Formats: sequence, structure tokens, C-alpha cells
Amino acid sequence: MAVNHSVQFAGGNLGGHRHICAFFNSIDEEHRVLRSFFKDGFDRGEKATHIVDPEQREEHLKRLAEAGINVQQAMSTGQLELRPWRETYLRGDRFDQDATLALIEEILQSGAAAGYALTRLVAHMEWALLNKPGVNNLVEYETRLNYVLPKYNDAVICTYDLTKFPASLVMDIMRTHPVVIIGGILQENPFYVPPDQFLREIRERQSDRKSAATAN
Amino acid sequence: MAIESRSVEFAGGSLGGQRHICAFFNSAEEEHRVLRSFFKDGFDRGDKAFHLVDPKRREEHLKRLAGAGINVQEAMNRGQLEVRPWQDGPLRGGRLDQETWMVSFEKVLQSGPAAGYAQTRFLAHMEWALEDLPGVEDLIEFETRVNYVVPKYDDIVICAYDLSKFSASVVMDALRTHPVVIIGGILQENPFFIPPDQFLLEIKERRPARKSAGAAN
Repeated sequence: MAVNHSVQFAGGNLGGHRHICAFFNSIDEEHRVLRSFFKDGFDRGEKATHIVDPEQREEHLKRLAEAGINVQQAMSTGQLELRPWRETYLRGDRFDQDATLALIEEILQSGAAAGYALTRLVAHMEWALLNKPGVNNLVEYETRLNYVLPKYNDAVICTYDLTKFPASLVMDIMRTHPVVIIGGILQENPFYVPPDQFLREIRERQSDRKSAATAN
Repeated sequence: MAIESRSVEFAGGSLGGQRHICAFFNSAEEEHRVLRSFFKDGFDRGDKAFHLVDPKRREEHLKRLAGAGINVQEAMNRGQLEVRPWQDGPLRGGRLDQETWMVSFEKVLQSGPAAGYAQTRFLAHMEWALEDLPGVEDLIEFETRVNYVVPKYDDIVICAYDLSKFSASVVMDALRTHPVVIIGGILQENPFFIPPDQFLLEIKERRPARKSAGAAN
């Protein structure tokens, strides 16, 4: 039986690239834009893993329910899994990018292992603004995720709150995702830079910074 | 009469018919590295250059143009290069009046060809919108309305935004109001561009939401 892997939402049709960043100005906008991404996934019997800001957990569940999802049932069957930052990005109270890359793969594989045709992973990324060791590796992590995700059909959305992140970081984030949601619209991203090239750019920046520091 | 090619290549891209460009930079150094050939080719081809700059950065800007091989003094003397502070443009009278500035802006575009130049290459540093002056909150409305004006001309308009100074929300709105964008030093057609009719509607829709949020507090 052919499995339907097509995914449509936010006014766009997801192609082979499934590492998406979504920029929002509010939780209202996030749920309005992603509503059909959430709902369609549940209706199709796909797995949903949501890594959410612990302070927004109740609000997040409430809005999923408002979208017509039977949250309690989905959580008890394991179809919906909510994971906090401290058990994912910030295990051990720090951000370890290698461990996190492995964890993301584990999440995607465990969905398939449990019989789900597709996993829809959504992650709130504001943990990177907390004062924890390693969080400055966010962009390097994001670009390296592009080595991992093409191995899977699963859709991964990293959400960024535009009212919280600095603009220069947001531009780097945009350049590390092949698909982007801006203004509620999903588009293939012409500004995307493949990971080999982006990692070189990061290294060049680091050495520029070092030589600037030596010069002072 | 030979038809002169008006194709323009810089920042790793080729400019098509859409010529309202926003350029995001992290530093003045990056700005001049990326726009170097835009500046230099324009002078070499006899285009007019009109630069609207942060008055605090004027001298440095001229120095970097000279560093790109442009004879700045001579170009300014004959009027090919005009470098003006914000007070002579969007902040005339100590405030942004978008109607007034739109009229003046269009005159700037016309000024190159009127003086016999093939076209005008217009560059604006946009940090005037961060000054504490009345009207600057109309920045994005102004940017989207510029899309009614620029298509009437061949002239090239680059709005330069310093990413280390603007908020991410404003930067995203700036992105959505320019049909062509330079990010990471690369010029690209912008799939996130929203035509002005639609963006003006969005701005109107945002206002009541903000007003009622204000009333609720």
C-alpha cells in the first residue's frame, strides 16, 4: 500500500526538503498558521512530537484542543508527545549539539518503529536565549541538522519568536533552513546555504573574531 | 541607435525588472564588500549615484568608496555622486512625513536621467527609522508604498538595514516589502515579497488589534 507522505499547510506544499523554520510574532500567529499542520497529522494517524517552552505547555495543549484535536486521548495513546526543553535541548542543563542531533534522529526513528507513517516534530527554539552553556552553538546545530533530516520523510519545524531573537541570529537561522514560513506562508528558501558551506562560513567568522581579538 | 544593455550584476546575482532591493548587513565592512561592484560599476558606466547615509558614518562611507577605486572628490564635484545625510531626505524637518519624502524620493530617481545620466543608483542607510522622531513608525508602510514608484523607472534602489540594530520583527517586515533581497551577501528574487495592495491591507488589519491591545492594558 502506498503511504501518502505529501504535506500541505501554510499556503504551501512541502517537497523533499523537510527542515522548516517558522517565524512568528505571537503564539496566536503560530497556532493559526500551523493549525492544519497539527490537525491533518492527527487525522492521518501520524505521530506528533512537540518540544515546547515549559511556560507555554498548558496554553499549547489548550490551542491544540481548540483545533479539534482530542489531546487527552492522543497523549494516552502516545500519538502526541510533549517534551520539555530540559529533557531535549537542555539535558544536563546545557546544550550539547552532538547529543541533540542524536536525540532528534532517535525521535524520528521511534515514530517509525511504533508504526507511524510520519512524525511531525515541532520545536520552540527560545531555549537558545537562556543563559546556559553551549546555546551559542545554535546555528551550527541548525546547519548540521541538514545532514540528518534528508534521511527521513518526517517534517521538522523549528519555531522562532521574532519578538525575542535578535535580527542577526534570525537571518542566520533563515539561511540554515531549506524551507521557511514567513508571514504565515511556506516557501522554498532561496537564501538557504548547504551545511558544508555554512560550516565553513562559521569557521571563517570564528577565526576573524580571533584575529580581531588578537589585534586589540 | 544601439540599445544599451541595462543588465546589472552584483552580489552574486543578476538584477531583473524588479529593482527595489533590501540588503541586510551585519557591519559597514560587509556592506562595502558586498556592494563594491554595485558602486564601482555604476561609476564606470556613467550612472548617477545618490547615497543617503547616516551622518555619523558619512566620512567613513566616502573613505570606503575611495577604497573601491572611485575618485570621490571628482565625482562629487561634477554631481555624479551625491552623498546626503538623512536630514536632507526622510528626516527633513525632524520627522518622517512619508508623503513629502515619497515625492522627493521620486525626484531623486528622476534627477539622474534628467542630468543626462543613464540611470540613478540609489542607496539608503535605513537606521534613520531608529531615531526617536515622529513618523518613523511609518517605515514599513513607506517601504511597501515605494513599490508603486520604483517600477516606473529603471533606477535601482537599495535599502540597507543593519541587522545588529533593527529588531527581528521589523527586519521580517522589511524582507516582505522588497521584491529583491540581499542576505548573506547574495542577491536573490524574494519569494516572501508581498505586493503593496496586499501589504497595506495587512498593516490596516494589524492596527485595530494593536489599538484594542492598548485599550486592554
